[in-house]
Amino acid sequence: MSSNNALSQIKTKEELDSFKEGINALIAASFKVDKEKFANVLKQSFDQNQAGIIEQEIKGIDSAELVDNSLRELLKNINQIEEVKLLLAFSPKLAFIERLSFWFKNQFGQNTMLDISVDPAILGGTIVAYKGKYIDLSLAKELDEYFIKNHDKIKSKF
Amino acid sequence: MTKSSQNFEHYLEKTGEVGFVEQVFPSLIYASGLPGVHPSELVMFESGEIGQVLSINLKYVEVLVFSPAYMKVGTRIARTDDFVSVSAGSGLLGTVVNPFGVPYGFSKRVLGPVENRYLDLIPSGINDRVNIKDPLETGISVVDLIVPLGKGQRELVIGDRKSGKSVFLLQALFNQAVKGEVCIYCLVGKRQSDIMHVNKYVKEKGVAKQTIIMASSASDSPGLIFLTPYAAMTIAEYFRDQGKNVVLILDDLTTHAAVYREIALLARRFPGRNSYPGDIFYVHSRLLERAGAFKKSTITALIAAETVMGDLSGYIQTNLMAITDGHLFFDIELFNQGIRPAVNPYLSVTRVGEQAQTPLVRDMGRTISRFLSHYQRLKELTHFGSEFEQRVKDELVMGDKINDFFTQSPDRIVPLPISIFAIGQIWGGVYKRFEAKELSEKIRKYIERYSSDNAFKGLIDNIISKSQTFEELVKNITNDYKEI
Repeated sequence: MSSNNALSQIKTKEELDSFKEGINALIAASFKVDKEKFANVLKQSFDQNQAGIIEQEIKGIDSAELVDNSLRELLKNINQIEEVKLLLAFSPKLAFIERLSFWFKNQFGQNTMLDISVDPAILGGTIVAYKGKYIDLSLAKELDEYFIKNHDKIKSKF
Repeated sequence: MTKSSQNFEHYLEKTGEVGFVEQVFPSLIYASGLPGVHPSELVMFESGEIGQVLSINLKYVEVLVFSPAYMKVGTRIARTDDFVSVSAGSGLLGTVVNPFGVPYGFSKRVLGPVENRYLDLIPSGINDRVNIKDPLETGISVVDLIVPLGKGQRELVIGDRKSGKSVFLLQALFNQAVKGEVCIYCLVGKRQSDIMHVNKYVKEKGVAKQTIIMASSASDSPGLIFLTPYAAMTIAEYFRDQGKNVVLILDDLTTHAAVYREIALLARRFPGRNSYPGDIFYVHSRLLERAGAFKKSTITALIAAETVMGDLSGYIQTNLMAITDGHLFFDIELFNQGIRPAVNPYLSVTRVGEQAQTPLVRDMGRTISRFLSHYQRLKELTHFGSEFEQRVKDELVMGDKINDFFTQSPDRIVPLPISIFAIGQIWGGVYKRFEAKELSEKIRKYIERYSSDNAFKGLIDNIISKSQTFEELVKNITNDYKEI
């Protein structure tokens, strides 16, 4: 398996952190336990989807050393995932996160994941920071600009 | 530029770039993002603190922070598309300011026009420079006669701690300030009490209006301390461009070097001799190269440097000697013998000061300097306790008298004409039978009369102006003015 499968599965920073934690647990176990116990560690450390990806990754590898190498390679690849920082006005549901992730992965490549934070002060829309670029697409900014632009017009109505 | 959290969103919007703090060291942070940032560019943190980009690599931007505040990982950073600048202008005269030109709480407010000037500028080229031709009077006889300085000279003032360097620097500042020159006293990473002391001195002496105190205290961030001499030099350049002569005192560059070493070691720069980074010479030379004599006016830099146990061969000390136009060595041994100021004339150097002197003073300086070396050797011989002929005894008395005259209390400023006249009198044997106290009293009276009695001033100036050589001066004094 190429690590692309793993990369496409990781949508958010939380998922990335838990994935890395799981791989570290597997690396720690790779020399210490037999195959059966290793499979148990795998199931405990990942959800079904992710566990399946890892199984694919190490399928047919007998030597503990090669498993270790393969896991380390995977860890190295996922460490290079680019972060897209998103500031939203509300806490998004899972379905919304998936839609967002799908859109960003299509636009910027599979090698991206979302780091979502919430600030109700932006009212709506989003603020995006990606590769050091900063774009404010928030409703708060739109409103600010609107009030500045139409200051006289609004004032005349009162 | 000052701390302002309000501007952060403005800069974020203006440049459209953001960075995030990834690693924090005291005074240094490593940030991701900011793809278009330039080296030395100023950046602003969302907390309102500011910093300067030190270096850029593929992964991180290295930022020097100008505030001692703790920076959190994840803090946003915005580019400013600007460089470090300081407020410079006549409004700063009389104030005590930090390297951004912001006055300290106890200082007078900045009143009057100021303009922003970048701190890091390329020094003026050879076309803008002229030869040093005017003498700079410090009011310290031994310096003005034996190790003279010129306007536009860069002179190192070097010596152990508590050997009288700062006292000398303040005396020189006072003497120049009363003559109307702009004086900038720059304290680099000093104690608050030192800053207050300088402030008190200039106020008490009534020269605050001619003085700017640029200070960073030891509790400031290393980044801010590092900027201090550059900011002071930038303000000096402002006054130079206004056609005013400036005396810039940098107290001291060994502390500056130590702070830069701290920053460089934190930034994991490869350490060189004494763990200083390889570019420490460049850091100081690009600063001091900005002083000198220019077509518009002059910037005289008096640079303090500390030695340990009188060792002049330290790394920073020799670097500074190589950059400057000479050094005044304050000898702790002389200081402990009670000699004030403890300037060691034999180990002090002035490379360009003599060219600014009149032929008379140059001749006098050389004669006295030669004689003092001879006197020193004679004194060593006296340890053997042998009998000397009268000529040798006379020479020893003469040497004692000259040394007595050069011993000067911190509150005494001797005008150059008085120094010339008094040395002429001593050489002519006028004070042969005077005790040290009597001589000191006589000189005090001369100084008083010179500033208050125009006829006396005219007389002294006349004697000096009609003498072309030292020999002629002594002859004139012994013939016509033995008793005045």
